[in-house]
Amino acid sequence: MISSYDIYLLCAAGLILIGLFGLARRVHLLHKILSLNVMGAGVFMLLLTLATRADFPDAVPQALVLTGIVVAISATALGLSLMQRLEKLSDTQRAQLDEDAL
Amino acid sequence: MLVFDGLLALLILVLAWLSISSRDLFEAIVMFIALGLMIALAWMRLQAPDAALAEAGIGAGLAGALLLSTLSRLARQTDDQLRVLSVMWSMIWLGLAVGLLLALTQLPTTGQGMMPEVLANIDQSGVSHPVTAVLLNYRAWDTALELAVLAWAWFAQQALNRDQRPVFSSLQGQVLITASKMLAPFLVLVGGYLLWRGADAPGGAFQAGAVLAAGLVLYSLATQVTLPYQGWQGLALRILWLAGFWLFGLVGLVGLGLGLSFMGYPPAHAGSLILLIEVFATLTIAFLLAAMFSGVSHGRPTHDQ
Repeated sequence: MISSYDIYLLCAAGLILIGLFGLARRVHLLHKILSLNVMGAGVFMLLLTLATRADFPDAVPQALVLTGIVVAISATALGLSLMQRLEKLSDTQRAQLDEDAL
Repeated sequence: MLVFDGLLALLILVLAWLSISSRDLFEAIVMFIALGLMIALAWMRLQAPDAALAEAGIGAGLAGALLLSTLSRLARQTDDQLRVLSVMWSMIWLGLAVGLLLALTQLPTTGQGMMPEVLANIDQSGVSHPVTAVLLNYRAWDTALELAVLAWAWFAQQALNRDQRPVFSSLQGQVLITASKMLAPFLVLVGGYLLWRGADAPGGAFQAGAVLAAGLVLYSLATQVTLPYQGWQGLALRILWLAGFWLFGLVGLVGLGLGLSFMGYPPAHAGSLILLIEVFATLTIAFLLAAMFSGVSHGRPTHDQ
């Protein structure tokens, strides 16, 4: 019998896989940053789902996720700045990596 | 509730897919914001209200604002090319998919985790809400370093794009502007409430900081002012950016001097020490996040390159 626990575990795996797919398939760096965030959300969901196994939800993974959300927005902000800098410096005015030039 | 969980999980996966697969970057970001809100709902279903509050404020709200303001500065706002994936890479992805599913189905479905240890010492921690106890007492070191990461990201952002001007053209209409101005003081009130409640209920420095930052961003959008960098206000701002981190370190050293370990609080004063740290951590988080969105005004005309 499938339970809510299984559903969220599957959803977490799905988010990680979708994020990884986007990271490799998309060319624009903004899309890559979005993909990384989707992967991160999958990892958070995994942690929080595993925290519900006990009778009373485990506070340690929840605190880890809270810290992780703030670190994720820091990394996103830094990534977005790097992307803008790259766009300004590139010859083609495109926010993408050289190996992705098509 | 099983049906609800199933539909929510399906919606989350569809939104994630739409966000990744959209060719229009604006559409991708809008889908990402919607995804953040649905994920906040999922955190509520997973009995993690603290994470849900932070996700709704930071993951959906501030990240969305940051992404949209960055997008408006880009020359090209579409991503119509796709990288062709090699067979090798597809195999790796498939292998990971199978491995992940196998690993997740084989996890033990019961287990107490760290909760017995958390509850065993909660009387000495100074607060009665387990998540706040973990964040501000047991794992205070993580939280201090996280404030350092946030500050570091902001300083690196400044070093990269110092002359960047905030984009203020987005908020239009008198109703929206007036409503935003009226909402700002209430957000300060909500932030203060969340901070105070954090001791014995879901809430705390992170959520309060996120709400305060959202209020600051909304206010700077409505009034078109940025955070000051000059004068005494600028000085206060620069002190507050690092205040949470240094206060953590200072309290940690005092604990070491009293014969406890580094960052050990004397149990009798733990509650007030945690509240003191949380007040400054809230202000640090709020002003750093707001600065990341709207930048600071340097009091001199910015020059184009």
